[in-house]
Amino acid sequence: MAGIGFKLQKYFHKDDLFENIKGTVYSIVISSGPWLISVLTIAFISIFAQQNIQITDLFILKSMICYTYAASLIIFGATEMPITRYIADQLYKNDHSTFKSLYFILVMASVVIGSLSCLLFYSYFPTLNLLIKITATMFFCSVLIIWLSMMFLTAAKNYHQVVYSFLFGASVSILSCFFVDKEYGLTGYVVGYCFGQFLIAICLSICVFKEFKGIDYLSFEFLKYFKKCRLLIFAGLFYYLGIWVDKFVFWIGPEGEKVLDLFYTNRYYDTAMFFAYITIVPSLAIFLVQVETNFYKFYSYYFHSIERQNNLNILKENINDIIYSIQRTLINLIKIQLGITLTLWYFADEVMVFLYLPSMVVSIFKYGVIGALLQALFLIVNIILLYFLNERRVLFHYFLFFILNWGLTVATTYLEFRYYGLGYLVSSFIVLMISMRALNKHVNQLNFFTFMSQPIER
Amino acid sequence: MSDVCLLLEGTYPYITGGVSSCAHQLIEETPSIEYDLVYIGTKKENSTEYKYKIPPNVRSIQEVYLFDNDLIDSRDPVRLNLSERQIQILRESILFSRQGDIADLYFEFFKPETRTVEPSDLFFSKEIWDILIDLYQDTFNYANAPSFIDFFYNWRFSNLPVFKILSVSLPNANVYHSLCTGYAGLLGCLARIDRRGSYILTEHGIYTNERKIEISQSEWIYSNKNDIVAKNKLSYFKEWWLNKFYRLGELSYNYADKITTLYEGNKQKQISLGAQSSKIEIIANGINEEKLRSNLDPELSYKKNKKYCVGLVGRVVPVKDIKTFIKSVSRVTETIQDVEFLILGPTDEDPEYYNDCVMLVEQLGLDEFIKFPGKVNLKYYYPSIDLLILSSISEGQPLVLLEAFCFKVPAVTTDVGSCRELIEGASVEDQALGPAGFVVPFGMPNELGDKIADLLQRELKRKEFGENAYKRFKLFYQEKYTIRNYVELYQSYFMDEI
Repeated sequence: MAGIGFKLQKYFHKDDLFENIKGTVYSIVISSGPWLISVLTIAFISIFAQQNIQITDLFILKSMICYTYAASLIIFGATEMPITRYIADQLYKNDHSTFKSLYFILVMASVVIGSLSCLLFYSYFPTLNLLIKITATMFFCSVLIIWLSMMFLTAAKNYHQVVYSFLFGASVSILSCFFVDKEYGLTGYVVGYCFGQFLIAICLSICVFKEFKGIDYLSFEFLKYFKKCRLLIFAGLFYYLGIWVDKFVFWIGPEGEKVLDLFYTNRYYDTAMFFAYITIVPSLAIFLVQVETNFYKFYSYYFHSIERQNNLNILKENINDIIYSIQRTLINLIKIQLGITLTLWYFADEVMVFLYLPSMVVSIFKYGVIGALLQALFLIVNIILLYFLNERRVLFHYFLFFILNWGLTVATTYLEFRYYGLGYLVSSFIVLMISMRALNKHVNQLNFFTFMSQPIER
Repeated sequence: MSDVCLLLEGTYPYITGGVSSCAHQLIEETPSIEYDLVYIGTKKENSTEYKYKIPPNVRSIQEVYLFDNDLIDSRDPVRLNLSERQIQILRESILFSRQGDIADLYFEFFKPETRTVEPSDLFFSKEIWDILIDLYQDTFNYANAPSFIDFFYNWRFSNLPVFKILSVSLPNANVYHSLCTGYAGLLGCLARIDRRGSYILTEHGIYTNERKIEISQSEWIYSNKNDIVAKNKLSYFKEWWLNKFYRLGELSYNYADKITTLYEGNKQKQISLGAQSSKIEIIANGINEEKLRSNLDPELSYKKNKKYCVGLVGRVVPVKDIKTFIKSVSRVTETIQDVEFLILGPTDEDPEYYNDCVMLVEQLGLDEFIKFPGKVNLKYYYPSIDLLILSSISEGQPLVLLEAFCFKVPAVTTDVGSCRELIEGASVEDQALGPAGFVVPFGMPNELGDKIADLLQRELKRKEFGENAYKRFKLFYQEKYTIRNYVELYQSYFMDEI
């Protein structure tokens, strides 16, 4: 996500209301656009499919999509941060010469890893036909490539093309499903949907290659970043595992249903959490703007200030500015998001009725909507900690989140239905508190951590 | 256990120069004494090959590099849970203040058997940070606070080499002999503190004063731009570094069992820097005449091209002030034309300065008079030289002058180091021998030029000065005297042990 803010600064550096609104809308579209488009695509297809295929087949389709996103995010999460660091460092040096080959290497790796894991995974599904398995494998690889390409394109601040590509691919997905005949059934829907996603991956890859023109060198220097940032590998891994682990628990836990072979689902928990997550989209968008425009400005100013040989008093003032900007970011976010969250929490029954969802979803949704807010906050706090290179600490927080979310969710499955979702809420809360404390400690002693952690060179 | 452990900072066996030659000479001429060497350098990559053939009585060579370290990864800073006493010791040592005792520091933080923390952890410790912040806030008010990053790195880079030295494990020896104060001197103190053996300090030049010149001229030490201070006052950071070397000097003087230096003038400087006068003994440099004159292949001898030949022996570097010499040549050639001037010494040590000198020669139109033969075997040149010149800003006891004396070459030198003692004589007995040349103030090309011209024109005087020079050498500056003095000194401490 880092990187968008530099372009957004254009919209925010003036104190112009219209420009500010434009900036906010723009940031929501580009930060959540791909996500919203994907969600809406699946929603549309579900609606069409309900009329044409059996409900069990629909669950297979949904499970396949869900598993694909979960697995790809976890794999991607483990590699995301080291590679982002590498890209950021190269961009800082204004050296794009290795990006195309790097992207090519990563795509190849994704195809190999994706194909092998799908080969293994789908071998447990004797009833699915070969075409579905092949398409599902292609889909998995496509999604991995989509994450990769978005990493490169956001680094290059090429957001428009990302959104256009998603719009194009989603239209293909929807249209092909729309025209699928009843007789093709599940196979037709899988092929139609996956083809659209495949096109997104192709479009984005073309964008990457167009973005980084010129001479290209093969370099394996990025592998050093996996060694240098090995803590970040695990941080990313545990963050995405933490996000999904409560779902995994509920899939195989009470009320969980076996869809087919290894596909499980929990229609109440999944639906509730899905809607709970939608509610934090605005806050994450605002955060993006705030952190990258406001916080980053003071953050980099502090380091410039050190290099400019300023005295300790000035450095302390710079730190106060950083603290103030973090406070403002969090307060702004809470101001906006708390209103949305509490309103939805209060009117949860009505919302669920409006969405034709069973009332069993309500209590989970109520926990989920607050948990999601807390999770968004702790994510922000930890991203700020990563700016201060406090990697060990962030790894600890994400690992803690994973363990707590797992343990507490398992614990709630032994309780009554009305406690489902509480595990996620409580673990988000605990991790938020611990993260806040760590951030507070770090920022208040920023000079100490900045100077005394420096390696000794010369 | 060896007999003597020589503590060598930035010199033998990697770097050539006066101190290195003396060390080599000492080792070579005392084959019955077994030596361990500890070489202290800045970085490993600067030390690639020995510049001398190591004599067989050297048992081991240990190398210590002050700025090489393995702390190249950023680390999480930590609290080390130091005691109040330990914090107090650190606080006193950080700025090299007079109160702190190096022994406490060594036992608490560095001696492997008694320390409670890993020394390198100190660079990432919360306690040190608190001390630094306290110091910073106590020293400066809001208006005059200097750059913090420079404050921080001054601490790191002034303390890092000291910590490095305190972590060295010394070879076992009867006597530890350092050839300067500074870091090598600190190692000597360490040997004394740890009761390993006696500590002898020999200073050729006065280390503290040399550092003082270096620091006041250095540009890498940050000076606060906003500082409005008297012109001759040093910036806070320069004072800090200077304090450090004063302190290191003092420590060496305090812990040394015996201090030796080359000549009376140095002894006075050492006393003014805190050395006890009763500890100081003068041991002059010495020259081995046979060695210098032996194996002379007449074919290789330098043949004069002009009637007179004047030589300046020294590296082409600023401290030798070659430029003043070149300007003085211009003065000489106003009256005498049939003369050549040789600048004998390596020109590659400071290429920029060498270029400046070559340009100056061209500008003054002296191309036909001045030559830079580079590094040569001097014994083939001395016999052809009529007059030796030293234009240095600073000298100890220049060996080249003694060598020239050995060949009966008179000299005109600047009044630095022991030059006056060598030219005019130190003791009454010495002075009675008569002068071996002239002494002029440094940095004054016309006076230097006039004396050169004067001596060149007076053949008889030159011969007389040359004879005086040779007598002086024979009586006071023979190698065997120097070696005998050192051996006696060593032996007096070997006895201590038994």
